[in-house]
Amino acid sequence: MNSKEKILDSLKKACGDPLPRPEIDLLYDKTALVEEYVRTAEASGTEVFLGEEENITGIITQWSEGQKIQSSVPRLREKYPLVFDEDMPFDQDNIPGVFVAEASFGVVENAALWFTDEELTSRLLAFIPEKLIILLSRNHLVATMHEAYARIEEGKTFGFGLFMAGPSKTADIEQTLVKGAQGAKELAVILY
Amino acid sequence: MKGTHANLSKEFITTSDKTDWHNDALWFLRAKRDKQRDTIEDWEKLRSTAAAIKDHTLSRLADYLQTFEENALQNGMQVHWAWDDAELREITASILRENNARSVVKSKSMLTEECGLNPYLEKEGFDVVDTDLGERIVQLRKEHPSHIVVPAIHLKKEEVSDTFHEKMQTEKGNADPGYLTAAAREALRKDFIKADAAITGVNFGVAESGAVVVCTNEGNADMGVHSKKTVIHCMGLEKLVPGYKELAVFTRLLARSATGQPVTVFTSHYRKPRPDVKQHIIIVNNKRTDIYTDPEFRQAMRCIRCGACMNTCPVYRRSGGHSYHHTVPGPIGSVLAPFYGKEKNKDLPFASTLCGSCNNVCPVKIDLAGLLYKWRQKLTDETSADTSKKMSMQVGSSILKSHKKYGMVTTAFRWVPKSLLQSKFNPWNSKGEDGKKARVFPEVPGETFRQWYKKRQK
Ligand code: SF4
Repeated sequence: MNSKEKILDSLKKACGDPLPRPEIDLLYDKTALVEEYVRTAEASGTEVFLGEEENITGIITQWSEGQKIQSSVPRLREKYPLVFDEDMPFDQDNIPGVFVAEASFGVVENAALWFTDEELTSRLLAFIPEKLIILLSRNHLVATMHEAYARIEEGKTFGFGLFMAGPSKTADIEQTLVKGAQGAKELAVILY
Repeated sequence: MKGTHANLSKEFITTSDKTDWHNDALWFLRAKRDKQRDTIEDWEKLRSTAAAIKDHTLSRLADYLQTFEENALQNGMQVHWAWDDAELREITASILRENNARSVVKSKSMLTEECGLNPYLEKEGFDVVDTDLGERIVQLRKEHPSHIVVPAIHLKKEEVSDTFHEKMQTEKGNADPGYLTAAAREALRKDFIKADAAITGVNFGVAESGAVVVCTNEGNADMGVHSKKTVIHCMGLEKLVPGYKELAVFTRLLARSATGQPVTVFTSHYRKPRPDVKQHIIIVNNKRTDIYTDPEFRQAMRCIRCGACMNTCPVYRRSGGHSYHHTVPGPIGSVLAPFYGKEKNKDLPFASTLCGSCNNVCPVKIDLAGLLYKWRQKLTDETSADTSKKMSMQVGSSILKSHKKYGMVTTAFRWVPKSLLQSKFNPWNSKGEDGKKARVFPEVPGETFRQWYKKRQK
């Protein structure tokens, strides 16, 4: 017997009667409120801008403070061309100073933003730039992780999927919260 | 009697400064967890749902593991099975060799810690860098994590500063956490660039989609996974959940219970490798089938390693993680440890007050105190007892059984002079680093409770 067979065999011998798959039936408020999202996002260390489609680039320019901007958002690509090269991921010349992406949706209860390969184009782009600006439509908010995963299940399958809730952080040295442990140091969301 | 919990905690307890500080640091996490709990209307039901999901998954674990493997293979992942720690180490080393990888960046994984992966790889000539800041700190100090979520919780920032000064040439005496974190970020970035392969632990495996899910706050797992051509995920076989619907329940519970955050900053779902990348999943047993086979203890496999039972435990908070001499410390560690050596770990189920606080916070409702109590009975029968303990138990039992003897002994006890009770001959007393007394035997009241009670009755 190889290890796989040995493992499965030991489990099968001992498993007993299968228990039914439980219903997930929880009481909570299912309305997704913009104000509540802003509160959880700010608590996670995210800077939130309430914008409109027309002033998105204005906010981006202002917040980027002159750094090199790249974007994976189709309507912004011409203005902020994407030059990041996955094959040379640490090449300083290619890493954006600021990366702009659009979240597929956001979760009100914990400020998590959902991305897949489609929105990111390169997976590392969610981690390697020092600043991230994320566009999030007000119509793309869900209340909790339950609705979030229901949506993921209905949607297209993905290769890589990511929930991001705030800038990278650590509290490993004496519980002191420090932003920018390994990933982005700053995260801004433009809610439009 | 070296090596037992009581002895190993001695040093930690006698430096009372540090005990209090450690106690407060962990209680801080517990308090944050309570705040998060209060934001969820149906918290208790969320916990019982999580427990039911785990019990269901465990009752069909073999099926779910097969479904998981099929889906992962279809997604282009390579799947391996390791019966024990040695096999995990060998599989990992052979994957690295096949891909000509000499240096590895590794994100947090208590499983690889349990399986002794780092020392093995180093012995085989590989470079391994732990990239989680807390793990990096303990790695540089040649220590082990003292907590499963916050590995360096036992260290003060001055100690971290000294370590970084010595190993990374940071400014001497600069203990600012922001400064130290920035220095580590810079050093680790170089390690990320240099590495040939990335290794991660796994928080959840989703059977119906074949995805492995990794939760971090730093983003360190992703820095490795998305920049290397060889990637290995090491997953304990109990990490499975049936589908996304169930995963939702656990992503709501994990970080809230662990650190009092509503969710970890990054929850990464790895399903398909990038083009030209070889991505492996190693499913590891290492005695989990023994726990599974024991009907009384199977519920311990619900554990999602959130650390909440440690943060709340009055013994853990005051004795520190290293006193448990097992990879996973605290209440859950003491439940698991005897499966990895009854004789060697027989003291651990006794390192608890059985107050049950752990039961109240555990997001998957493991009856930790109940299981510790069960171990005490089993281990007393199944392992050798210390003669001193045996004798004192016998004496104690004969006294407690008889009214008369009890009365005599408690009265006689009052004649023992205070100078003797509070002297160094009584092992209860201990001295701190500064030479001052850290723990002193309390003064014995002049009369017994019975005498006092009788007097009041009059
Ligand atoms: S036993 Fe429960 S509280 Fe302790 S680490 Fe596991 S899941 Fe968390």
